[in-house]
Amino acid sequence: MSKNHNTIVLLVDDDLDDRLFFQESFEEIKIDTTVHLLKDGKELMDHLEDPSHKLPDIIFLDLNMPILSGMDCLVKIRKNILWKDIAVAIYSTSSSETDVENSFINGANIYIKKPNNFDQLRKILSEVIMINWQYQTSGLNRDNFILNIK
Amino acid sequence: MSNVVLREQFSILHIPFAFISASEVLIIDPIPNNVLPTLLTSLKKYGIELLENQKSINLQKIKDTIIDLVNLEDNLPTTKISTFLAEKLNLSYTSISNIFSELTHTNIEYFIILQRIEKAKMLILEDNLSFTEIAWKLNYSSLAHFSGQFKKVTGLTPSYFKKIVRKRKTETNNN
Amino acid sequence: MLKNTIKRSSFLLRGTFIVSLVLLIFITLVSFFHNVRVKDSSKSVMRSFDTQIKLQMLLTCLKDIQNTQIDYLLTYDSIYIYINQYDILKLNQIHSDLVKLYLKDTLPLIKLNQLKKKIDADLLSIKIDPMNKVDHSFFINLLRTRNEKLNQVSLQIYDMINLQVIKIKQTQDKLQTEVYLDPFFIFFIFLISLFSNIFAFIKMNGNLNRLKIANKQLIIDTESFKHAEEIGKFYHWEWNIDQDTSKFSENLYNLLDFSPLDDVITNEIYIQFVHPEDRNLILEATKKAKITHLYFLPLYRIILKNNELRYFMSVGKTITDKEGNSVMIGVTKDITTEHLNNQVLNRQNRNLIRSNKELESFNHIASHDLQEPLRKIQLFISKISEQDLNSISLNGRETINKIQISTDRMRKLIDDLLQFSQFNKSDHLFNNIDLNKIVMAIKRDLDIDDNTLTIDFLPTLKGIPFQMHQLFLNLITNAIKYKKPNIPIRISLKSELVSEGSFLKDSNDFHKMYYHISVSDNGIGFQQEYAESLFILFWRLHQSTEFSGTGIGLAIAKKIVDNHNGFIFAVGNPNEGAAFNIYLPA
Repeated sequence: MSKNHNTIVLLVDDDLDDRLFFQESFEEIKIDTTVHLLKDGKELMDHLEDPSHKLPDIIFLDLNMPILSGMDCLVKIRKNILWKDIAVAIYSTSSSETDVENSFINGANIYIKKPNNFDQLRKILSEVIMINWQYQTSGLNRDNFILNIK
Repeated sequence: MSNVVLREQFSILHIPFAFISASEVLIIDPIPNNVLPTLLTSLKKYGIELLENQKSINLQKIKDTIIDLVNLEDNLPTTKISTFLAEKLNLSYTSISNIFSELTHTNIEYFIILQRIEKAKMLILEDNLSFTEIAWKLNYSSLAHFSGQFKKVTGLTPSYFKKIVRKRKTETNNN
Repeated sequence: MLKNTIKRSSFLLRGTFIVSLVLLIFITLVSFFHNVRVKDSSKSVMRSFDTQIKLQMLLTCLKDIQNTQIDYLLTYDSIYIYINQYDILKLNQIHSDLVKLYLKDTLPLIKLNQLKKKIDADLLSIKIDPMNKVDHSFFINLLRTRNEKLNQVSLQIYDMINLQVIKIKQTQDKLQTEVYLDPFFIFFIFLISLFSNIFAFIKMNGNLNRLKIANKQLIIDTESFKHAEEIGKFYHWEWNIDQDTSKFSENLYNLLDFSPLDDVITNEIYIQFVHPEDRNLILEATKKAKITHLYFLPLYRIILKNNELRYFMSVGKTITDKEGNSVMIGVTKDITTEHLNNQVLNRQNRNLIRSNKELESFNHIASHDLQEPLRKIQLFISKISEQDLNSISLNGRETINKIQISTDRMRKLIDDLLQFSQFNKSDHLFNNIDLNKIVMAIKRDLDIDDNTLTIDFLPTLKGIPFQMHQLFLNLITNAIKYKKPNIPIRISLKSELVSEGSFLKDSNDFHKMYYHISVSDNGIGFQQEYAESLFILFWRLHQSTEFSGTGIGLAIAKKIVDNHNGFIFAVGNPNEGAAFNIYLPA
């Protein structure tokens, strides 16, 4: 595979610490990635709708956000056909079955319970990016891309 | 299917070509620089990518072989795959592994498991077979073994997966 | 019962009356006719006697006349002539008397007249001539013929007298035979009357007694009923729908604090007591009652004279008698205490429900919100790299380590608390659960073999599936955790059906059935004095260092069992093992 394939990652989380954690985890992942950090749903929509931006390969969404929650963003993203190839991972502190199920039903591909260990975070993100990449390169059916990481 | 696409695209852009084998096509004249990006973009829409070096070609071959293997009715265990691959591609298994890991950041074993689970997902959604039958078809020693691996890879049980996708479909139908 | 008695009584009464009347008439008639016959007989006998006497007198008179004539003839005293004439008059008188007596008997009358003729001819024809002196021979001849003639007449007269004697005898005989049966007859009638009277008396007396008893009971019942109305704070009423008249039982006056002397309560007066806003309810119920024949007014307000408020309830139904007249009977009850109690209870209930909900959501929210900062702490700690640690003093490193341990523990506690808060009863459906399947699934998930966990047949019951799963999971993992070192753990699950009274100390109910499921193991056990403390949230029997865990497993187990209206008890023996006895309603 060409070396200039670069996975574009978007994180939407209203918490500054979480955003920094996320970014730092990516610094050590082997796969080439570009990370954009956004702090709410509005910024997300603006970013996606901006034609000058390349569409991301994967979006990480926190559920608990004010104004536009992660679930609302998810629904909006999945409504738009142009964005159907973007993998969406819900990245949340909640581990409630309801949240998990609703996320998948509304079109999320991945559900990640926010870990409380930095190493674990790195490992999880690395795995997610790797799997996502498999889906992108090996002709796997994106519709069946469902992954639950607790 | 991809052949048809290629033919179409090449014709539209007036690129002379010839098929060497089922999955290899020879482009007769070099493609002009202004045409190449257009070609690549169009092909990308169909999931067809341009591989630029031998390593990539090999990798793609490895992947294709594995995918074919998985899609065959009777699946062969990993050890046999390694010998099979080595033979088919005329390389040692070690170099195959290395190429694979270097470029995909994961190993062949995992890739194979992933492919199998993907196939399982398709079978589950076809809804013609029970989980036990699917486990058998994919050469797992038992339903428990299959469920276990499915859960390990996806984090979900096969039944949960089925339930989710079904609910997703009703959700999208309602929307 | 009473009805029959009354019927029988009246039947008996009529019967006896008619029988007595008939007997009376019968006896009277018989007596009357008897009397008449006796009178007749008497008369006849008297007449015969009279006739007999008169005939004797006739003869005597004849003899007297003869004697007088002889005396004259002997003395030629003119006095005898007068006496003779007097005697002849007497004789005629007697004759006419006899004629009267013989009036009815024609044959003897003819005989009598013939006799008279003969007397006149033979005995009286001889005239006494005062001038003519007769001689002795003539006199003696005269005597002689006259005696003969007199004898003849005497004989005839004696015959006639005999006849009378015979007649008397006949009459007397006839009377005798008739009178002979009379005593028997009378005695017979007497017996019948006596028996029927006695019979009627006994029966009627019996009925009367029964009526008396019934009446006594009735009085008691009435008193009892009145008493019941007073205690139960209700009164009963009758409403004649067609004529729109009503009757109330006395307790109405008590309920309305109304003195019976004040006024008779009528419908109009009653309405005045009803709260103005509720009066139309009464009208509606009345209207409906006319159609449906049921009166139902579950709640309406009454305002007493002293302005106190009361809550009443009225219920009624129609009864129809054989002639098709219908009347509505009903009861009105003062439900003030019940209503107010209900209101208080409802209010308390609502408060409780609200409190509960708040508590549940508090639990959930608290543990959820607490997780966030904790997670960050753990993340930051884990971010401290090896290099950073190396540049900190040993003391510093230890401190950081301890912080890590504590935060891990805190995380576990919050996770458990969150988990605990998820096991609520509300908004979960009870389904039929086969406990065997649940335990088998746990067995599979935890990879336990058949030696370790043995299951006797477990029941199928109604419950919340995921909670049941958690219950047994907790108990089984506990058993595995608290096993004796070096001795393989053996867990055994059994079940049986028992009644509530057999295991619950405060219960006498031996009909309510429960499934008793026991989970027993051969682990380290515990002291029985801690049997209840085990189920307390976060309560730990052992030091944190000996066994991991936060002490929530059993608390969750108990909460789940509570949710299912069941009971759980622990029995333990140090170093011998523990048994958990779960009782779930069957």
